[in-house]
Amino acid sequence: MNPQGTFDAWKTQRCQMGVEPDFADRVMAGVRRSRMMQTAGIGHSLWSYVTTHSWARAAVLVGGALLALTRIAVTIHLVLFA
Amino acid sequence: MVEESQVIQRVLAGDVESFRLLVERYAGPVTRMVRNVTGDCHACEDLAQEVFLTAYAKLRTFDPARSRFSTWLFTIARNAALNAAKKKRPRYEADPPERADTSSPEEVAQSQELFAALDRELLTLPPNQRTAFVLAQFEQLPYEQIARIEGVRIGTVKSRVNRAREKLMKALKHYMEDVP
Repeated sequence: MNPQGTFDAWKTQRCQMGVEPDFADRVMAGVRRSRMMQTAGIGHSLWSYVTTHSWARAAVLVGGALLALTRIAVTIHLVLFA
Repeated sequence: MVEESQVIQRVLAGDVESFRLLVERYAGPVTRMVRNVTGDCHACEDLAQEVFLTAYAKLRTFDPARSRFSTWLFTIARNAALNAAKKKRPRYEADPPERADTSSPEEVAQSQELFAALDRELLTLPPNQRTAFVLAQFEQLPYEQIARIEGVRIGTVKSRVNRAREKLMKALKHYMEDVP
């Protein structure tokens, strides 16, 4: 066997390697997992931001109070003028 | 065949399952590339899986105006493979022997021995020469694309591939002289 023939045969063999049939399934499972963690991570980081920053707590409180007042105003409007 | 840019747009719009099309298209080349650079046939699928997960996580940073998706993906794979190769001492773990074209068992055994010698020699090449050689000779990528992946000029890629090829051929000839 000549060196060039051996070299070419080696390259051909190295080019022919395949992957396990469930490779794409495993990758997609990982993708779905990371997406779920990402979604959970956003909620978690938002919550920890609010709990660790006093101005964020105040903003949430003011936002809630405004929402409640708006709701009361809408209800009163509906009762009086509907 | 669906255009890659359309698939990427769909994934970015929230259709996660479309990412499977990209995985199925590049699973073979990426796994092969990682395996040939690291020399580890057992861990290469796990590493290739990490490459795809990184690609998914960073998909928003992919700019089709700057490069093709395959170039971007191979760049991630190259970096991951080189990092893994750095952490682990290069040691080629050969695949189970496949039947070669030659007929007699002696010739098959001799081919496998020579292939194993070439595998070992490939891992002794400097990382830049190894990745350029693998991308050019095994993955058949054009020099221009390899230059983008490696972040060097085309001339540098050509010289790296030629030097790698010369070293491997020299080692092979030397080995064939020693083993009758």
